[in-house]
Amino acid sequence: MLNLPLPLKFALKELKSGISGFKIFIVCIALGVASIAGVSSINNSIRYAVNQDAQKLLGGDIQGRKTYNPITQKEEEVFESYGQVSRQIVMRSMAKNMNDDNEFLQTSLIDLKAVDNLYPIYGDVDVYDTQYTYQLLGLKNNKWGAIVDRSLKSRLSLSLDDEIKIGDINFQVRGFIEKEPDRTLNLFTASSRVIISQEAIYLTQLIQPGSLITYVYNIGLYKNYLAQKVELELKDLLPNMRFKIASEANNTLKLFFDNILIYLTLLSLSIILISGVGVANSSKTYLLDRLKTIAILKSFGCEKNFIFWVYFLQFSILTIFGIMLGILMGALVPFLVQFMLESILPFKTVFGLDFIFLAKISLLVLMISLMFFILPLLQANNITTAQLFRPKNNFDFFKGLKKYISVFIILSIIIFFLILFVTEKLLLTLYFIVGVLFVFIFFYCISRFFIYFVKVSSGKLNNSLSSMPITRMAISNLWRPYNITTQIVLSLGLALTVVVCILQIELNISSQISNNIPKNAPDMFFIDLQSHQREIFLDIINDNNNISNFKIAKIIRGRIVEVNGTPASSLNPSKDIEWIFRGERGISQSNDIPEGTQIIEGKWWDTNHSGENLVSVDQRVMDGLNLAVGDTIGVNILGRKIIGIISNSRNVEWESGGMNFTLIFSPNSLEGIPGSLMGTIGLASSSGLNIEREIVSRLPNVTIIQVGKVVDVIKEVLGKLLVAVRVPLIIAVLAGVLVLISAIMAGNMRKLYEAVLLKVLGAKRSQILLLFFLEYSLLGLVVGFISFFVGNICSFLFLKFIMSIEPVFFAFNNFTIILFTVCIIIFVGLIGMWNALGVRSNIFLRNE
Amino acid sequence: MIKNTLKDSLQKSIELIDVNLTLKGPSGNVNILHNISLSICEGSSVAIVGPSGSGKTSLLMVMSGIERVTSGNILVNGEDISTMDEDQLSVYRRDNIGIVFQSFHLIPTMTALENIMIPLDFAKIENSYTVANEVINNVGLSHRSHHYPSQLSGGEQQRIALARSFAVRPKILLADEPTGNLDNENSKHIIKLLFSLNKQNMSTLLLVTHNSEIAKHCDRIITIEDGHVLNDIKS
Repeated sequence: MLNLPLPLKFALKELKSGISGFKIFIVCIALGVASIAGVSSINNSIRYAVNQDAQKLLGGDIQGRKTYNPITQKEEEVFESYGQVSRQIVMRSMAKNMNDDNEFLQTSLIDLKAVDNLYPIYGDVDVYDTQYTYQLLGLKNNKWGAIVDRSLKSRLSLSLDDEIKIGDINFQVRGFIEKEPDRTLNLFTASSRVIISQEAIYLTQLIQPGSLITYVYNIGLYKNYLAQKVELELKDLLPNMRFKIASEANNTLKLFFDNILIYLTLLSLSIILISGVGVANSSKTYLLDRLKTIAILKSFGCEKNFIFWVYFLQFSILTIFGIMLGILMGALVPFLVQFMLESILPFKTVFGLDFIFLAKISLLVLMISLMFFILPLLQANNITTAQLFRPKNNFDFFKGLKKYISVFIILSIIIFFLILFVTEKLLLTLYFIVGVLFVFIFFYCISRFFIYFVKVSSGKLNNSLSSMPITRMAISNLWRPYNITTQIVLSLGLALTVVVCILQIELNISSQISNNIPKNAPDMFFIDLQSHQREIFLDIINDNNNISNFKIAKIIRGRIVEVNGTPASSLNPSKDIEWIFRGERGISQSNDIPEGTQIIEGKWWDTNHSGENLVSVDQRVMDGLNLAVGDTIGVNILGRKIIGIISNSRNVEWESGGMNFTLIFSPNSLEGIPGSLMGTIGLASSSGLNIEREIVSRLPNVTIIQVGKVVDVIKEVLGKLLVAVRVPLIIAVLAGVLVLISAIMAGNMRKLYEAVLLKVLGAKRSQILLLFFLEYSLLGLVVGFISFFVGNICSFLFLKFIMSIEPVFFAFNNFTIILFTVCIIIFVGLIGMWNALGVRSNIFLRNE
Repeated sequence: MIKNTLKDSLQKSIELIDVNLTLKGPSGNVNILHNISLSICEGSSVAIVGPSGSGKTSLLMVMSGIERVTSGNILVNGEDISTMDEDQLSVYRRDNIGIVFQSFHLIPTMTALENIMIPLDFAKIENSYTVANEVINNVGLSHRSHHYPSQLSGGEQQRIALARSFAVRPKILLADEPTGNLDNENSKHIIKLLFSLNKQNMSTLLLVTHNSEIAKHCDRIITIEDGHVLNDIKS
């Protein structure tokens, strides 16, 4: 036999006798680690996709974008001096599938991309069952080719070689896109990608003056050029274009996933902490079982620290075992994510573990586990031989917190730095640690208060409950010495609070999307309507009786470039209106006050106003920029700067979901600038299909957006995301239930003993069951109520102040959660007791 | 045969007929009691003596219904308890039996007074609080009524256990080495109290003990060895 240190020999001997008492201990640690290892795996996939594939996701080293018009030949030459240039035309449009008689059957909104023969500069386009080449999009048998997204295949019931009509011409479907290298993440898009050739797009008649078209230029730089440097040079040369380089290409994507990852990391850390309570309970139960062994070892003269090391080693070995199990489980998470989110993720998840990250996590979990088992361990060290002569149930392993407070402070500091080491976010770590400490202390205080309250009330209730001894006993059990109230409130309360909070947030977001769509919001939007098509469009509308709330307005895209002569980049707007300076905004013109508009300040211009350029501005923008009537705002439209004098401010109800504009100019201001019209209608009945048919056949370039369909897509995507986010939530619930089991088991021996004594003293099994049923029901109600209360406050604060959503209270779901809590506590509690009732009493009653 | 025995047992408080008890252990079955037949008259006091492991406590356990006999019958006041289910046995104990253990077995989470109130509550005795107070007064521990078992000495715990077992005035009192965990002084006090309470109640007393001096206080001494009745004498 190896010459191992004596404590290790003893530890291994004890472990050899079985780890059945440690099942919950191990599973708790494994769940916590699995959850965070899974998050790490997802993180890896995203980093890999975003960083390694940045060029592919951008489509080049530098990307330049211009709206409405392409760049000039001279400007193209500048691009070509830096590298290879691939040109794309991108726009929203409609695809229609036709029957043999050239009658259209269905329509779908599409993201049309017209590419050249250099596309893609980086990466490959994967097309199902065939190889992508530019020829696939070319003219064959008098038909142009298109490759389409799989989503369009189902939306329009398409098969290979079927025809779809886009604009004025028919395209033959030559393949279904499996992977598009430069498809950026837009989870909530209701449109499907269609790729055609640049030659073909000009034949569709979709390119009309004022149509919202983006010209994209992807540059694959020659070797001697640095992207950052070229970007600066190009910005100087072409100030009207927007440029992006590969490294910053997916900032939105990164930000989106960063937020998701922070949420998941926090949830995982919470799971580890919830599991920690399970570790504490399990180690206590185990040590209680070893009480006599320890006392006997002490009686044979073992040194004080010997006991500490024997059990420290056992718990540490088991923690490491749990960590390894958790890492294995976590490694499977990417497959789960791939399976659940395949259709909406823009990249493939990769199998792989970040071993450095996992080493950090292992150390963190080891420390958290130590934090939770150290107190019972230190108490075990204080067991004396005299314990042999005392009833073991009276030993309290959770006493002495004050005595060892320094140990806990040191461990907390180590854990703080380890969390910081893992998350690399100081503020987040601070919030988390403070939050956890607060929640622990809060739940502890609440449970102590509850115990005090029940104790005082039961004293007063004793007389009225004299005829109900079982109820009296059940109430008394909640506050008597060695009660499990604090343990259960802490253990399950923590887990349930997390569940209530997340559930409330989820429900609020879902209801925000599905129920909060304003009732008077338009049912259909029509975009890219040309000025000369106005009359045809009005005819169609007027011929239909079911239309309400019809509106039409000119729309031009433009960027706000200066305010009162100060360039936009030098302005310091308030946070809520920062968005107006990001990219281009829809700008409109009108002779008359739009219907339902409320003027806050100033007055509307006269009909057919001429002279100075006047502009009407959203009141929120006025407030955010400290503007007054008479101030000026400058916009850049198609490279032309137009300065408008603020004539009035309006109240804009963005929440109405209708057609709203931040800036409305007097028509003289935008004279000669090509723009398109946008129309909105409300439908009294399901006559949308008739209008759609009319518009599609008579105005083929017009894009129709059906609000109902968009909402359906958002709901579907959100549903999938919520399911994915619910997985860690389910793990949290599972951890909570395990912790509950461990808490009940920790007090189970005492309960069993009590049950047996009550049986000996004449209690029927039904009476004993009723006693514990009442006790657990009361506990369940308390935990449910506290979790309901704290969870709702947390979700309220989060929704109100972080997500700016007016929180809605879901009474039914909250009630269900409380009922669920009561049931689960009763179920777990009574399962243990049921066995007790069948057990032979003499085991407990024979002289020891 | 059982019918005849039932007739005969009317004057008898407890009657054991061919009682066998076999328990399953890790190394196979262990025969604890072998063909024990004996009868105990109402109001008598009986000491059960014998070496450790002879089956004394098991005998007490089968009489209380805590242990189920493997074969044989136990008639208590004419009722056969060997055929009763768990709930019937609980009711039987509630209505007939008081038990005192060597290790006291007080519920640690209840005060002395609450421990005494438990059997009173189960027996649905009105004013259980008042009765429990009277009983605790009888054992001289009214000043300790709100103390938990862990705050009481061994002697005090056993006095509370005695008070609890006598609280419902049981017809039969079973005491399993009630002084086994106590010093000489406390032992004397407990035995004195036990016999005095028994006399007041006119209960049938069965007392398991190692102490021959204590055994001599009883009307009858039964010696058990290896699960057999070795001797049955009047003291």
